[in-house]
Amino acid sequence: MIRVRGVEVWYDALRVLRGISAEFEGGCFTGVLGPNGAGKSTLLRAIAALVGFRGRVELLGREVREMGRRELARRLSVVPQEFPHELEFSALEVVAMGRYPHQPVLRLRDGEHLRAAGRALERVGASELAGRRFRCMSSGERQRVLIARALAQEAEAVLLDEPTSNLDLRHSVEVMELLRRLAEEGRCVIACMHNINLASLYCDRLVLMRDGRVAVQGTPEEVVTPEVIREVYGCDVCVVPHPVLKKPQVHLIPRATSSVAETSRVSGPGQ
Amino acid sequence: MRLHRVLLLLMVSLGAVLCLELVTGPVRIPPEQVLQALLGQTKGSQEVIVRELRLPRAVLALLAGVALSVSGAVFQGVFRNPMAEPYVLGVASGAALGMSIAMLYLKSYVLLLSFAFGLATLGVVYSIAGTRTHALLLAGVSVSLFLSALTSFILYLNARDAATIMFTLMGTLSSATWDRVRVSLVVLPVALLIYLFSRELNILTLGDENARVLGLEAGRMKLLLLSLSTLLASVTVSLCGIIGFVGLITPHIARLLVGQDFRLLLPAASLTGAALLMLADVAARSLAPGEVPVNIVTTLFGVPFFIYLLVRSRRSEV
Repeated sequence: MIRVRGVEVWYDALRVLRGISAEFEGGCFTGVLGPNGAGKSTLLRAIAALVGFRGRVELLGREVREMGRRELARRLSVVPQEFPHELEFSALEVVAMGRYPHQPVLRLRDGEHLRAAGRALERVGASELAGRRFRCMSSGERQRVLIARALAQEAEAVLLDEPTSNLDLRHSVEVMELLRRLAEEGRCVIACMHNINLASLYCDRLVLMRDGRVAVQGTPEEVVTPEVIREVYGCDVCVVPHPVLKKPQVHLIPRATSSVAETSRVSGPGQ
Repeated sequence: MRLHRVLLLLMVSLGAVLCLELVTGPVRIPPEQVLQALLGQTKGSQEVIVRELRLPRAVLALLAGVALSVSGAVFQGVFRNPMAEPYVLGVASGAALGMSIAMLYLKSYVLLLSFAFGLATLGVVYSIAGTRTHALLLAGVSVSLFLSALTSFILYLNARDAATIMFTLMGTLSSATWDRVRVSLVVLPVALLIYLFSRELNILTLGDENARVLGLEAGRMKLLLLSLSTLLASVTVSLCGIIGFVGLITPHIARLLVGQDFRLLLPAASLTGAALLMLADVAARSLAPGEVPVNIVTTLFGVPFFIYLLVRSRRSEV
């Protein structure tokens, strides 16, 4: 659904993305991982045509920069990491803004679109928030409202910039399960994340980035290995399968104990 | 519907202030005779005073109040800055310079030139400061001072013809005649057009990137809305001179009353602005013998409010 070909992004003299190529399919939940400054957010911003770039990004076979903003917004929605908190708007009003690319210009009636916004809130299990002001919500509630806004756009692709970074355990799991369902319905879901274990549990594919390049991409089992993590993050870790789901899970080995851990890493996980 | 009741209440208060405006003036005319004059049931000087002086003045106050409030609300929304306003950002000073040049040297094109200068000023201030809150205010104030000095300079060079311009620039509604009110009618279609972009204004309060993500080309829409608001401010400046702080205060009052949704905010701000400007005009004509320029009244009330906003924004930054 989304093809990224040789994308380079420059911020002034700094090359943030150095030739990225990747493909993101519909029905697939992809996690984009990598250290700070690896270019994860920039990759999302390039796909959404929010930064200028060299190379090509195709959405459903068409270059994103050649689509109009409105058309792009009907096919691709973004849940940003930064969003103004001090909004007097209610949750329903924020979600209804997601209907904007579907509304005719200069027409202010929006009964039908308010109902669509209501359904989107229902989808994320946040109907009870409809009348609440955005600034009176917790981070978890805000995140769900913003995902509902993306749903209201009825786009085939959903990009999320660190959707779980401010959330506690329960809310992270809720958001990840929601994203999983969205992917299972056929959408192309791409989320930048820091939490490798969470990504490994929920994502179908992982793209691990470093220094503006794709270091490794593939299934969680292919990407989350002690060698790769050590190579990309420069940390000593051991990787063990999740006790129930068997997905690879990373455990840090603090430096002071790494000599002790050496033996266990050599002997391998799970023994 | 609580919010619609608020709008209704504002309309009633505007009506009350309008009555007050019509019965206020150097010549004492009892209310019932004002009404008779409006209905054309009396002849003579009272009818002339009411229909040719007070009524156009009230209409001008109303339209100027609407223009100032709508442009203030748009500036605050688009710049996402509670202190942005055409006057604070120097746009009005630019318009005043344009108006002075047009009146002194061209004898016509007053509105056109004040609009052009207002727009150019906006461009300069914006390119200096971007949208950073305090940089924007500083750039606005310094550009504004510079342009006021230029205006004073050309008025000084043309001291013989400058008296009326100087009096107008002090900010007054006293020059209202039906001819001028006719020009100010352009406020209504422009304000209506801005109102039709309420949804876009709502989205722009989320910031440029969020707007783009929702399919709104933020840069172009901001340019359009700021130009339309600058036109509103320029119309006011070319007819009534500099009337400061109405456009700053009314959006805040309106937000307290109806919230942030521009679909309600713009009507509420318009009604509040029209009522406030008329009230200030009544005060300006009652405070001292003769007539105090209305700008003095609005500034005396406006500056403390501006300082309150400054203090509050500093506290929220800490």
